[in-house]
Amino acid sequence: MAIDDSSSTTTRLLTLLNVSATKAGKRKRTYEDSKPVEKLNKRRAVQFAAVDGNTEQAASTAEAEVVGEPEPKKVAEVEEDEEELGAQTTADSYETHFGLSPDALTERSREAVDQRAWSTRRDKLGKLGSVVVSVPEGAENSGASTSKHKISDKMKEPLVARQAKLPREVVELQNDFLDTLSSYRDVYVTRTTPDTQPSMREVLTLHALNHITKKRRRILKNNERISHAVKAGNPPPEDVQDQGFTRPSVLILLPFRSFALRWISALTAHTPRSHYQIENHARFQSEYDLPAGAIDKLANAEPGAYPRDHVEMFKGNVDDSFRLGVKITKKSVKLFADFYNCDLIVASPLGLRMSVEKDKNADFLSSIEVAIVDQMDALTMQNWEHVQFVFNHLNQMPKESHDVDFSRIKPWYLDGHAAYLRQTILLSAYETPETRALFNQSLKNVSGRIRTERRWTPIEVPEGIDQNFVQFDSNSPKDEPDKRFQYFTTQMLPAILKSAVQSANTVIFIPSSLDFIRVHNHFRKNVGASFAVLSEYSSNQDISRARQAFFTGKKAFLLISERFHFFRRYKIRGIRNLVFYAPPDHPQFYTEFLSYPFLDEGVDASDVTCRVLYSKYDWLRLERIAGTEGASELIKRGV
Amino acid sequence: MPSPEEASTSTPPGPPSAPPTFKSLGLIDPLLEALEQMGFKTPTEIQAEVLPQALQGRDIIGVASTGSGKTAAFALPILQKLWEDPKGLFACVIAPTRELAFQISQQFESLGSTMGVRCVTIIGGVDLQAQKVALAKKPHIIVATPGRLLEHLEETKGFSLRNLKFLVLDEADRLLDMDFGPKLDKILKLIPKERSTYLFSATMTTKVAKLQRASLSNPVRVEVNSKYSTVSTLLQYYLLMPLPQKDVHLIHLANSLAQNSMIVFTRTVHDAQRLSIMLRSLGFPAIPLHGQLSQSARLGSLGKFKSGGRKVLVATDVASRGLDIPSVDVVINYDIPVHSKDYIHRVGRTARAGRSGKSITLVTQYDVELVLRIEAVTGKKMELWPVDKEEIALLRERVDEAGRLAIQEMKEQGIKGGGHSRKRKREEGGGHDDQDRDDDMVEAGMPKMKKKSKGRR
Repeated sequence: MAIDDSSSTTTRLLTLLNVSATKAGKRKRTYEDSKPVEKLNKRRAVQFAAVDGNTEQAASTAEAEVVGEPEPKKVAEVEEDEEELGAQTTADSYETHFGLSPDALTERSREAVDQRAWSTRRDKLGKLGSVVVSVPEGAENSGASTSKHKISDKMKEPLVARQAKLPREVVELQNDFLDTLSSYRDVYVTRTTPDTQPSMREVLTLHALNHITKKRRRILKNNERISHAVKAGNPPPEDVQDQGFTRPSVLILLPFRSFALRWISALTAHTPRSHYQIENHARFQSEYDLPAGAIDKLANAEPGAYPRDHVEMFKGNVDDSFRLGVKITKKSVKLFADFYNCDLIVASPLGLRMSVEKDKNADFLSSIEVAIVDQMDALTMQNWEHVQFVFNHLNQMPKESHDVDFSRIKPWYLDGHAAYLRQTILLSAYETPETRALFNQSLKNVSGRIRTERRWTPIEVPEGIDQNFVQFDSNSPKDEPDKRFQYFTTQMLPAILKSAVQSANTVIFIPSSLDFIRVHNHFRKNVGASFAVLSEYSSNQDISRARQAFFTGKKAFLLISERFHFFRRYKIRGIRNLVFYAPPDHPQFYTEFLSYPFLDEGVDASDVTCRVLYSKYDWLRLERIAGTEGASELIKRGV
Repeated sequence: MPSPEEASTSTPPGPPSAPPTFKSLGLIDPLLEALEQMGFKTPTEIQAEVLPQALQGRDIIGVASTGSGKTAAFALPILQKLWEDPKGLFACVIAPTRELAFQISQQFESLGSTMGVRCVTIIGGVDLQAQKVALAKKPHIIVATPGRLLEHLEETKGFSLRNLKFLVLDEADRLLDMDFGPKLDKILKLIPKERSTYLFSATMTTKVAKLQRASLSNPVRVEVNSKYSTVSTLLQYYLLMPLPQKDVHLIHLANSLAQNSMIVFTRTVHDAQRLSIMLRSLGFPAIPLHGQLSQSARLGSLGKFKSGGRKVLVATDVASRGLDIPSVDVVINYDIPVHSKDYIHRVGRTARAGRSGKSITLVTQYDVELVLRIEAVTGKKMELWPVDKEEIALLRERVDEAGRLAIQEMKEQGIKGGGHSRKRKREEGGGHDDQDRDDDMVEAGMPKMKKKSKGRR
């Protein structure tokens, strides 16, 4: 299965030995993400960077290449910079948002953000669909949204070249998304799919690269001015406030190493070999891909053997503890750069937290200007606390100075207002209360925020099954779990146990891990019926035993946690009765469980029962299963 | 550079035509407004003398007795020049103790409130990182103790004083003496030569070498009273008793003056701590202030005393200079100061700005010579403070008991005698954090520190 302990150990071992780095053919730089999924037939197969046979050589002689770069080219580039600097003074969104005194950053707007006083309107943003746009109250007329990205053509070139081969629909989505990002507002995309993820990733990495390049060019330019002034004996220029406390300015939070691989290849797709070289790429491949020789069961499985979303999520290296610094210079992208000497941090929340706890400070997070969180739905299946931990440490005042030149720190950093300007981009396949809370509470961007909205249609389920939605009353989200447990143990479960049919071959699906423990304990202590459990902590042996016992009817009840199903995706046989302790976060799980009874021969839909326990606080989950309209009816129905 | 002897001395004002007002001295409106808000109506003598000279751009050596408004005398011209040419890192004021630095910066802030002056206090014992950030914001005025300022100049990247226009050394004689000298030399090297320099103190050294350090250019010496002196509104007393009875006499004084707010000066940290515990156990609202407390505790103590929450402050010489606490009625010298200058500074904590005040010095059989010396310097005779011997005898038993308890409590808390504790050594060895040495470091550990402070004064 996807999480194979032995294979991840091997990965680590191989990382140490760096064995695979020596293997030939490992240095291919392909941008695999853009490989479309055939069955959807949406896009053609494209490979971005040309894979020539000399790549290996090129990489090894790269350093010399950089040193021996012909001078004239450099001069040309300086001129280009100059042009850009001139242009920036007009209305580049980087300057309007991250300049010395951004218009949006006023005392009033900060207060409005702190008190969460937003003025909200609904809008349509091209291919992004309907969105909710919020700006701090009193700042409705700020011009922040009008300024557009000024991405140099050279940087955009690879994307434009690729877009030429893509269907118009995707190109439009990419361009609309890029425009949205350019406003430097927070963006919360609540409906990513395996199909849109790669194209969004491409745009996001371009946005990040543009941000970093703009910032670095300004700094290098100022360095030059200062050294010129010093040489000429003039007093150094005063207006050189161009940086934060520490160098990293972009953070990308991801659940697994495999995603880091995809993000970095999306990033390097913008930095073609003709202009950039990638340092440590071989090491990166060996540490973030599966070790050589390891067979990826998921990627190689026959189509249809595993659900698509499961394959997309778990193929490749699924280690969830990693952190990577990426340093971007004019001519190179250096992976595995030191945190205080890099521009981009790619990490899992766990990896970052461990790093912060080891250093005893989060100074390298003090100057993050663009934070991207991808696959938030997967992060909620991991430890959400780590995500909160990271967000609590973003843009804090640093504890040490890390050799920074204090005269060059931008004033709003010194005032501790960096959090009010940070752009945060959240990507999720669906919303949960946790992700919504993060969006509402941890993001303080004074330029405003955009959240995509989506109307859900009822999810498809096998015909003929009687779905029984049972609502219980709860008036505060705080004691909702207690009320739910009480209702379940005093009303629902006794009714089930009374019925001879329903108290056998019954699966109880419990989304929250805490609820799972509680219900498990209740079964252990108070319920006489035989039962088995499947949680994310079950060993392979436990799993097969439990499945077997349940299938043969030795155990009447099977308790399954959502995380178990998320990570393992076993098909469970022998189900006749389904009880959802709460609606699952993943709508497809609902379909899957409702179709499992038909794995067995001769099962009629009328033999299957299904109950879903819900309260009004389950709105987001319910919406995905019953559809937006269906859910609102269910909620309105009352107890 | 002209030596200070050549420095012209301001001509004493002729027959006063009309008492000068702040307006007639040429101050601008925002400052006049602030002065009015603070309730300052007429300039004090030193202010009237200094302002015209300073506004002309001369370097100044200002000597005036305690509590005569010296801080405003240098703050006003600086703020006025700042108004004409607003710039970050415009002026730097150096003071010998942290509390004093804090107080000066408060004064700057209130005088400059109407013109939006930004002022930071750079002192030891406080978080370094926050100060770096504060300095990077380019405040107009820096008020600092020498050690921490030097640390920032040397180690904080991107911080320099190369555009500094004004340097003020408050309590200049203290700053220019042996203890701070080397640090001050280093600081002066990092500050541009084209600047205005002000030296201020109630007592001023005459040694040429020391003054040259400050690299004044063509300074004018403004002295309001040439003789080091105490103000006329101060009543000075002494109290003679045998050494072992010091404690009981102190308690007697505290008791009979219970309605007043008072500062008790001791020579050592140990005594300050012990007496404050003793006073507290006998029901007096006492609070200690010395160099072994953390900086926040020090400011906390001072704050409580200033606000009137505590009536008795038991302090070492950290509190002897510059601190402006208007409400102090009585200064008690539990130990007689070894240097007559220190005496002047200590008793200067009371009878400030025209108010009346008392000072009482406890004199034992060993201290008589010192008393005579002080009287010679101030030119005033102290009077005997009358006590009732019987009352003292009655108090004695309880005081001795309280003294024993205080010592026991200190042992339990692990507070050892001043100057000998491990903590002290570590602080000094640690170097960086505590580079601004406090006055009580030398005074407190007299016998042991003698070698270090050899040649002081």
